[in-house]
Amino acid sequence: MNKVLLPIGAAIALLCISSPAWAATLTVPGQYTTIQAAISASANGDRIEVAAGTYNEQINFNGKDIVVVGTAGAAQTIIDGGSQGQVVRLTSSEPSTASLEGFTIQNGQAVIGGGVNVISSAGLMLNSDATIRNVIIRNMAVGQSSGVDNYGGSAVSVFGGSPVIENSLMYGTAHRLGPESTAVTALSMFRLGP
Amino acid sequence: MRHVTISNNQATGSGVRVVRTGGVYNRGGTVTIQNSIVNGNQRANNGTITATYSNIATTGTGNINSAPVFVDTAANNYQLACGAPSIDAATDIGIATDIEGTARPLSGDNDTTAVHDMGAYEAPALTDPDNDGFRGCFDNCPNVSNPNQLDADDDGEGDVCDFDLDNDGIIDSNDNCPTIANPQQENNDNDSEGDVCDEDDDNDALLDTADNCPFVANATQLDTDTDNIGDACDDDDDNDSVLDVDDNCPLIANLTQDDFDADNLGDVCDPDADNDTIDDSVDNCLLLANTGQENADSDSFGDACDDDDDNDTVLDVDDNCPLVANLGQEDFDSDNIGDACDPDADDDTIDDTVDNCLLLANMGQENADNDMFGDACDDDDDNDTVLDVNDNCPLIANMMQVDTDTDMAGDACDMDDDNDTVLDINDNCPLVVNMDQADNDDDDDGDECDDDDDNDTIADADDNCPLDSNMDQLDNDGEDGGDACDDDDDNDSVLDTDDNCPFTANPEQTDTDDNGEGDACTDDYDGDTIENDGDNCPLTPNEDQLDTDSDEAGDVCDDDDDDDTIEDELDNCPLDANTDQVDTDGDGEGDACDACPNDADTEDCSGDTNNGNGGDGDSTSKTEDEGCGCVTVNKPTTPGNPGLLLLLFGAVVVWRRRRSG
Repeated sequence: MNKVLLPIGAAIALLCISSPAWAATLTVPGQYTTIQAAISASANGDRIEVAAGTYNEQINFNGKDIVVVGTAGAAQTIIDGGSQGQVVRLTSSEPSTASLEGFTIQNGQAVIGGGVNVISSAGLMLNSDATIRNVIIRNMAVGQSSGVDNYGGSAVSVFGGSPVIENSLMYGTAHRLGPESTAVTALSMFRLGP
Repeated sequence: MRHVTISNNQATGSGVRVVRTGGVYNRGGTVTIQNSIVNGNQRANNGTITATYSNIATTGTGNINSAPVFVDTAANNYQLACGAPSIDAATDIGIATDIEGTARPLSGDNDTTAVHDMGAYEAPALTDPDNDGFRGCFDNCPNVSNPNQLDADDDGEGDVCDFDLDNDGIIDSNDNCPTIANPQQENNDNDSEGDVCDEDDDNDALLDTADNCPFVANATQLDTDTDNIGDACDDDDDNDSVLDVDDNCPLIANLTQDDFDADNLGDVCDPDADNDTIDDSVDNCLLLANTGQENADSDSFGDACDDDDDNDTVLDVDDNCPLVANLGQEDFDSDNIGDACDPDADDDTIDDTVDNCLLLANMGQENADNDMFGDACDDDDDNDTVLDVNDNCPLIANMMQVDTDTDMAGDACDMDDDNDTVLDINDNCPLVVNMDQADNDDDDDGDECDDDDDNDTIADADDNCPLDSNMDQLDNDGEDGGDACDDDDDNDSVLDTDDNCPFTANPEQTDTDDNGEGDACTDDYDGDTIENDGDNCPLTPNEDQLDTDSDEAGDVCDDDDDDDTIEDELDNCPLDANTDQVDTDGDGEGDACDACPNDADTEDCSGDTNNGNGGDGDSTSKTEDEGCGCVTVNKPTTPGNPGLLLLLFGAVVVWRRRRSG
């Protein structure tokens, strides 16, 4: 019964507290073939519902206060980075109402190098107050690093904000380190500078 | 971070100033963790972490630090397995569902109180269908009440519902060891009991605890190397570190695997290590093939492997008879083969096995007496009891030592017993000197030794002619030996060879008829076939006995054939009595006998005037040969002279008497 009431309650709450503009629900792949396309098309307060499937892409909330939901749950909704970079970025101080829910994020790969105090992550890069919920992060790797004092979290790196992560699973991540580098996994919290 | 599960992450690599963690790393921030599982990662967390009601190696309220127990991480199933320590171990922080939307909290333990679980997943609520007070995975027989939860095999399945008490996957009814796990059902002896529960796995009547080969039947428990592993199951029965499969003597330790005869049977276990067909138990040379087992000295080592085959203390390498004991090493013939073993010790080419003088060369093997010893080494070669040194015939038995010619060589061995230079084999008198070998009678017995030299059966001593066969012993003259050997049988001083009457003394040798037979010994002196007694001329051949004058003296011996008193030599007609001797024509032929008394010069009387029977007064008839003028005159027979005939007759009588006398 809770499973039924909770979404309804959330919807009511959303209606009550949402911005004056009507929040929209964008669907993937119904309306957008990629999640990132939906994000790009979304506005604050929008909800992007992603159907079951594997989405080979990297996404970035780009500071938007949106909710991106895998409607079939994490087990069936997969964002696959294809080992080509960070998979999900919420690094623009997204508010706590922004959230990513119900996804499996996999096959991310961060390549840290070329600078000093570079922070990277294969899975999630967080610099926000957003909420990450019901997410599975797996099979992440940090590639060769050639810089100095570089940092990387295979699964999640938080270098700003106070994000909340709940009901989530991180497993099977690994990383490879180079000289003069520091990296961690699965979740890293960094507060650099003074 | 709330209800998050971070597990099974790795942190690898190396470098300078590297911080590695498989879980959470906090550098300069604030990390708050609630109701989560941060455990089971490769490396520890790093940095300041505030955690409560979490399974994490961090001190905090409600925290535990225990290996998370997930359903199946290999299948990426990180749900909490029943009984996991994180179940019902968190607290309510206002999260009503888990990652999959399952409502929280649920009672995932053995009680009925729902409590939040740590981590992303809420374990399902457990039930107690058999109502025995044990729920879910806590009940080893969920569907069969077993409040005591007895579980003999501790397989998590209570006995009451466990059809595989030993949990080996074989239901008990088919399990040959129902109470001892043996999923492979090994049953070495194929009896009704599996090995793990069979006290005699090889069914050899020996309990495994006392069996040195529990899985191989070996009632004898043979354990060659006494290593408590029976041979039957010992890979190295002799414990020589060579496995039996490679060991040429698996039951006898032979690390070096020596195999003299290369027959794949090591010497130590090879019943015939040198492969000479002689069993080693009786082989006098174990590692040297010597099929013949020659062992000259009958010691324990065969010749082939014995340094001193004959045990005479002289090593074979120095022994001139290595196989025959000869400590003295005598070598008569110096041929480096000791006498003891030299097949011909005296090197006389005669094998000693037949040599009658082993140590004296006697190639001829002379053995006069045919005893065991050849003459060369026999003190009495002829075995006549006279030692050779004293024996005049050492090689020929002559006990009497007869030596006819005293030449120191006994007759028995003297080629010339009588020393007459004629070898006995050629000597007709070997024991009597007769160099001339005279043998009068050619009977091969020389006269010197012949009792009957003339072989006339009359011994020489009694023989009047010992050298001339005269069995009749005739001796005409009674002296000078028998006639056969008397060269003057009639002793008339005329040798028989010259005597015309050898048996009648007639020194004068008269032989009227000169026929070689003296008159003294002939009845026909003159050989005219008329015996003297009837012969009118016994001393003059006149076979016709013509006696012109019939005076009984034949004309040939009658000086006056015509008895006219005129001797014939003077008588001009000797056959015609003409005492007057008238010869008219003077031709020397008296008229009485002259055909042509008047013609002295012709034959046909042509000059005779008184041809024919003209007056010569001769009574003899005359026949003229008118052709040739020849005249045949028939003389009248002149009668013999009676006185002369008488004289001759008397002489003959005297001669015959002497012959017969």
